[in-house]
Amino acid sequence: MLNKGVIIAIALASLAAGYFVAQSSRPKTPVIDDSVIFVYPQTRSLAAVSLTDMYGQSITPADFKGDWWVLYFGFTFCPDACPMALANMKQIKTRLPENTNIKFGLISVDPQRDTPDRLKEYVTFFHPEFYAATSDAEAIDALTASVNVVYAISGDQSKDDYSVDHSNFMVLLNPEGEHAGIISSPHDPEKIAVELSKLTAS
Amino acid sequence: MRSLLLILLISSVCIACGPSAPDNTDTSTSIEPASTKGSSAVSSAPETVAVASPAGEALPEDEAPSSGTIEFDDPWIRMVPSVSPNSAAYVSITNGTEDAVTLTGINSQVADRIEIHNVEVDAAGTMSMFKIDELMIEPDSTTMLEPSGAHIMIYGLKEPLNEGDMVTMLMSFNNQPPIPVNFSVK
Ligand SMILES: [Cu+2]
Repeated sequence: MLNKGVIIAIALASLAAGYFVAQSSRPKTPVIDDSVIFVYPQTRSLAAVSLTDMYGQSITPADFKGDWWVLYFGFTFCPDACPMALANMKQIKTRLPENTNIKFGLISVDPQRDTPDRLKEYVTFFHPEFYAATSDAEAIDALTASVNVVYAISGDQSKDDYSVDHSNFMVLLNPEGEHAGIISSPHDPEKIAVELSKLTAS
Repeated sequence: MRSLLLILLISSVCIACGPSAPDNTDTSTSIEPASTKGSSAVSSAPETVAVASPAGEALPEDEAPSSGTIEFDDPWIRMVPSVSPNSAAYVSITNGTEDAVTLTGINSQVADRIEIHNVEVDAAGTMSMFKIDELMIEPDSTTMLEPSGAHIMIYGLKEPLNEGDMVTMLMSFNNQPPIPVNFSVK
């Protein structure tokens, strides 16, 4: 009686051990090329500010939960870096499967000029599924600080042709709505799509 | 001088990471100055424009520069959403003459104002651009105006640009008559 129980216990234990060995030999998290996507060892939370999106709706970063997000912080009057980043996002998106849970958006650091309508027209020019939002300067300051993005108005803000210096990396949010990593420039859409697929498949 | 070095530095960095815009120096074609050739503007294939430096008729004797050409390789303008009034243009300028030439200004009817800009990226990866008054190109050398680097900054587009459009820009150099160059929108 006792013997039978021991044998069963041993059998179960070895089964379990085998299972765990099999599990651990498979990588728990995929190995991501950190020259393409730098995944933070520890995720960070975003400042809980209020934003206005391109439909005029009030949102908070918590609304990004549920999907992976690639966000770029820029402005629509930007001649070089921002259109290039958004064109790259489009290239990345077209390389991902259609039912992907990776979304793309622009956060404008220039609320003075970037109205919801303007943002909508701007981002949907690149892709109909792209999203955009902005807020007042105070909220933008808090939000950018929480994702390590730097920006600075350059020039006379009373005129319409001032510029905004800003970070040129993309910010990656995980489905928990946390800041999970960054995608540094120069952006290679092909490589980024591959690494994003690996990362989000896990 | 500092700015030129900067540009060269940025250019070489960008060559190394080489994103888009293929070079195609073999398709060297001469074009008539100021001809817009709108009909052939459908393709956005790279185009090399060579303009003979001793432009014969228009040039006064005393301003005659040395022989050789200034070449413009793959001139293009970034297509931007129609709500964006600003864009940037890029081109590789090769100074095939025996003297340094200086790009002093750019004009076009499509925009309110056009400037030569350079870009700086600080240690934290923040990009900023600033106006430079002129851009010197040494003899037998090429200066690349390209994405994330020095560029032609276009302020106040009068009309949205469409893919495939050709835009003529008048490039002013010292000791040269202005050179019209056709930029394709892509
Ligand atoms: Cu500029």
